[in-house]
Amino acid sequence: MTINYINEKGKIDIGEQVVAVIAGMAAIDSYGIVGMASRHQIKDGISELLKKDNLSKGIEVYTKDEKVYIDLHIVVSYGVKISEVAQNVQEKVKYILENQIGVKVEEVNVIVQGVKVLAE
Amino acid sequence: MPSKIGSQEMYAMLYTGGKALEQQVSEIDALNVFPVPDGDTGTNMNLSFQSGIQEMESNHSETDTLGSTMGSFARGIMMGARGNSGVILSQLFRGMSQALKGKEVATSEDFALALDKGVEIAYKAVMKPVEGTILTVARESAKAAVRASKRNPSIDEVFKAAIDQAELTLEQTPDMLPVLKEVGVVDAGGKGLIVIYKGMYQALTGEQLTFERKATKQQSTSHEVVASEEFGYCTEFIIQNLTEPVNETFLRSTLSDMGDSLLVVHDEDFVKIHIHTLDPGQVLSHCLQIGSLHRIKIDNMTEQHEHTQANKETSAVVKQSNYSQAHDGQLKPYGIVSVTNGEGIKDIFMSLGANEVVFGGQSMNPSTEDLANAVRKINAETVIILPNNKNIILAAEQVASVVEDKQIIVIPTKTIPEGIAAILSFHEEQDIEDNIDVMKDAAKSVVSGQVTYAIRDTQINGATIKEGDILGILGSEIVVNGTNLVQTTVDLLENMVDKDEHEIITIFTGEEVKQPEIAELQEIIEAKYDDFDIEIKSGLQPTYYFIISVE
Repeated sequence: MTINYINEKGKIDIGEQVVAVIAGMAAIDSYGIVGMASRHQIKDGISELLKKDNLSKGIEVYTKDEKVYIDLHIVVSYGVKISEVAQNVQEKVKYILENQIGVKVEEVNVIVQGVKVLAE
Repeated sequence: MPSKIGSQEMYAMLYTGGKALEQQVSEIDALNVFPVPDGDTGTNMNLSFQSGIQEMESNHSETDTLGSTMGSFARGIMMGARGNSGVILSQLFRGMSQALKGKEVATSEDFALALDKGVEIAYKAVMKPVEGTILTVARESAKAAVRASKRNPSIDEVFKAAIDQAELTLEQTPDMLPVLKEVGVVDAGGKGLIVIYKGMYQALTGEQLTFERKATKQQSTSHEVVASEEFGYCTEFIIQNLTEPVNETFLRSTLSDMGDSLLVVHDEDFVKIHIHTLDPGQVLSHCLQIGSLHRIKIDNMTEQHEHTQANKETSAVVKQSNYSQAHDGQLKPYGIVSVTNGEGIKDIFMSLGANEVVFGGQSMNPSTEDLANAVRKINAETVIILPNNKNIILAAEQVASVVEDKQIIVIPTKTIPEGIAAILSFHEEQDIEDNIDVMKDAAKSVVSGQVTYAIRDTQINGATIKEGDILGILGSEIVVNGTNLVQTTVDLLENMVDKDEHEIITIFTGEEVKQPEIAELQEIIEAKYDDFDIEIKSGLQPTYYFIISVE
């Protein structure tokens, strides 16, 4: 699945992987997030923080009826207001994608998969 | 001056910090371009901070220690954190509260370490900290506090060192975060933090009206009121025993029709309301339907305004001189002096990068010497002057012959909108020739309008004008006149706007305009120019009811 645009000069295809990487970069910039979690670990109940070069493992991008949907699996820091952090991530990801690649994002779903308690 | 801070001092500091922030919400919103340019940083910080104050107030008892007061505040701000800036702010205070936990009082060193701990905790909650934001400002400021506390001065000196450094760092944020430079603003969150710190500092040093704690007749800190409104009453209260779940959005929109500076903080079992209104009774009656009212405080702002007006002059001077001092250290390539005619417009120019503003306008044109003095305060190789009035251009051009150690460039802006367009298109990294070109072009591309009143009977272009008539001026020509302010302004806009050419209408409201007139005008033009970006800003200029920019 790719996202495609057609204009008078031809066609542009943007791979979902590209969208995922950009979404991941936007997400880890967001305050309150300490990492992305692999989406495959939900069933094991562990959330391993992904390294920077495979952030996109924590992100699913799918298109349905020409619309783009994104699921982000994040790990937040203990002590932040999680609902607010999640909402900030949604805004940031949507804004960056719409600005950088002109992708209209229908939904950004945030799955908070872990909370990291840091030594205080 | 206390040598140590205890619960009572901290309570007053946080309270006053919150009040200071509340007054600057719209200025901070206006700076907000990062992480998402949605203009809500000030609003979010304010709601978060108020939630901290709320928690601190409701848990207050006589046996409080510094640690427990700070703990309540931190808990409140964490629970009520809104938006990115609010979440960061909550972590800064959470760290401070951890450092002060269990302490009765704090020495200057404890205080510095608390600021530092706040930064440490705030940085822990982010994977990739972005520099040039509130985090950077807080970090550098805390470092300065720690350095100062090692020399063991008093708490107020330590705090002053922290604030001075915060201001310097804020100025540098555009060099760290490109998006700020593009737009020509400093970081909004960082600015908000400084506003809070300054309010706290005022409470600490007693530079502001005293703040009594929890008395039934509470003396609130002085509200410096926007002078464009009839002052009315600053009304604050809490609604408890809610009869039904509160629909916050609905409540907010109902109340916003009754006044301005509205703040609604909604928690599970109470709602806190703050509003500036001409009719407190109406607000109270409406809220009585939701629940019972507690801790009602109504202040007559007109009285307070008369009181603060007298102090305003001096504080503006202090602000200016602090600002200049902060800039003495480093020689910059460029500086900008702008002539302005209202407090609000001054703030706008300052936020867009002007280093000095000189008050002037129709009835009090600044002299060459006034302008030269402003230029001398700026430590820069080249200083650009924006006269913003055709009668001042000449005086501005004379500055070059008076000031010899700097290159003086005058961009011949004839109106405030031209000046704003020019300063927005200025880019520090471009060479001067390019800057002159783009600034002049930008100034030319704006259509400027002004609405004022006739000072005598006269005949212009065949129209008979009576003293007191409202005049609409396009560029420098009177194009419409009438007796109704809103209608004449709408007619003037007709003459200004070309729907195929333009897309933005900005209106700066004068100090003599009343809130209902502004609301009426806004409603009409928003309906009429529905695909335009319409911005209404408080300019507070005298003489001109409205200054309008169309681009």
